[in-house]
Amino acid sequence: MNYDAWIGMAGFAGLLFIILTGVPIGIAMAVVGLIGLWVLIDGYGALSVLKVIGLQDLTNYNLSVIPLFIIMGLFASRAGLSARLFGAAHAFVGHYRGGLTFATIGASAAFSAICGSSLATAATMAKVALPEMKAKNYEDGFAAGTVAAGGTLGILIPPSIMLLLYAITTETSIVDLFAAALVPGVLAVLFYLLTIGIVTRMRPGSAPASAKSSWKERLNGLSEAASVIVLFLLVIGGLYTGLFTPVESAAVGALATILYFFLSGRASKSGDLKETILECAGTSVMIFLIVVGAGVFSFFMAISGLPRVFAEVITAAGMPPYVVLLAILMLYLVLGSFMDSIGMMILTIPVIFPLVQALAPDIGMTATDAAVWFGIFVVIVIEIGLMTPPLGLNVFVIHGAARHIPMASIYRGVAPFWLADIVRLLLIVAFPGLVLWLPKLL
Amino acid sequence: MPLTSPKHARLHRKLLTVSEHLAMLGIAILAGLAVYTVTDIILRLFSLSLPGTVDIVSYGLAIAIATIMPYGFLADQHISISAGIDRLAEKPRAILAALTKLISSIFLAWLAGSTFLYAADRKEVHDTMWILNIEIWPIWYVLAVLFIFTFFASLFQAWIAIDLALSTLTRQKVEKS
Repeated sequence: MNYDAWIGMAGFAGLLFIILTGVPIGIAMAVVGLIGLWVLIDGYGALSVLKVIGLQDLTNYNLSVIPLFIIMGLFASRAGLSARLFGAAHAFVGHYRGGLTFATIGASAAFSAICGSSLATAATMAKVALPEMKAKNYEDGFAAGTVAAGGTLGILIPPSIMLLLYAITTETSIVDLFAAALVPGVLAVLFYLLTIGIVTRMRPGSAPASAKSSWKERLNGLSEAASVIVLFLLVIGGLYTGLFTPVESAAVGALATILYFFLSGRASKSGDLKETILECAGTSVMIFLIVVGAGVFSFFMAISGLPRVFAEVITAAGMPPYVVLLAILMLYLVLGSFMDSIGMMILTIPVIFPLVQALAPDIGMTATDAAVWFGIFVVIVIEIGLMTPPLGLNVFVIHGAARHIPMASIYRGVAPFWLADIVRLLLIVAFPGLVLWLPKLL
Repeated sequence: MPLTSPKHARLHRKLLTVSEHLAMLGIAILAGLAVYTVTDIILRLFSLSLPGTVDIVSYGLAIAIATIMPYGFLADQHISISAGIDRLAEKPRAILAALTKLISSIFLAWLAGSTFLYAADRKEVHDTMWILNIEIWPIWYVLAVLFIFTFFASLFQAWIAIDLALSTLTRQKVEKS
């Protein structure tokens, strides 16, 4: 390793230390990046980077997708769309054993199609589904585990804020990533449904069946949920078919959900509009700060040459690529046990992404394919992290919404879904075509 | 963050109210950008277009984010890891909290200063938007002013944190003696 790479290594270690002291991740990355560049280039060079990367990011047209998709997701969440989706799903499958858990997964998947945040999906579905399941004598842990698992769909099914961030930091096509996420997203839903089927067969008392809905009730439910289907077709369909650019698609989604929010009458409720706006504001600025900080830090990493040296060392060691991928999986699971998912991804991508690019030929992919495939891999690993103790943010969100359910019960309830996710991840590693098929088709 | 005196609480409330209004303005700007973009899409169906959508959205985005930023800092809307700090004793935790707030303030001062220099730089070369022939330096000055406000918001948070750390140290000294 040369001098520059050692500086890069020291910078990375310094960043980890500063982050552990509680400094906001975006600021920590920017500060360490600037100090590192100061050492490697000079003070003037570091300031120029802040101008060129940090300030130019603020006026980056493509970054406007972030706040616009955030607005779309949060306004949809506050407009009560999740309750309508749950009602529709319940009308169709509620009479089966475990019907409400099936409905929770179905509604979470549909809600994820308009909301790119896992925590927002989990929080909104917890409010809607948990009281209903409690009333129908569902086992607390299993019910909460289902909501926590359903919530993770929010960061995979497009539009996903996590995939947007990955696309921005690695300069990968957003359209390709959103297309690539569709099949793994559908697989996730199928695996979760299968998991529910197995659990309810093994423990029939954990999730009893409800009364059967009439066809009139089903049609009513369907018509109530139609707005979500139309919105998804418009926003994501428009993006896939090339009718809209990502920014246009986000603008259409944001405007449509704002209109829906006002039409649903929520805006007239005291404080609801202000709360929603401030939530959008807080989330947008938080993510933007991270993007700017990550831009500066990634530039420092690139100048130090550490990612290249790291990739060379790993490839020269002759380790089989799948062992490297397994090590990356383990690394993310460990990080996920104490770090926030966005921070974890933004922090590791500048070092891990070049390594995966270097490994691409060994796993039978081009660098472009590897970038798309790895994006989905990372998001699924992060999904798993959202349910893994001791942090498992989705579990905390559910516990916050249902204080009467102990954390240990929720973790037990989540365990079968966690296993289903591991199987899905292994499938995606073994058959990359599951991810790459749709982007190539479009 | 706990406020150590009524004076702090009053000032915090005032700053928070101003920043909340600014944040709402920021989101209104973003909604305006969505309207502009959607109008452009609709006009495209009739082979028409609005002028410089990319320019409007790009600079509108910058103004919106800078307008929201003070709220982000005053309301502590950050992604950070508190697991390590939460386990510390009260004294080191208070000192560390003050230090982290100071680091944020220093960074924001740096950002505001750089933006001012950048604005002056753009003015000197008469830099304009890509499509619309509008000079961009006034926008950068607006952004610099908003960053200065964010810096003061962050400095206020740092001041409270330092005050809290000092009062913790004093209290522990008194308790020891």
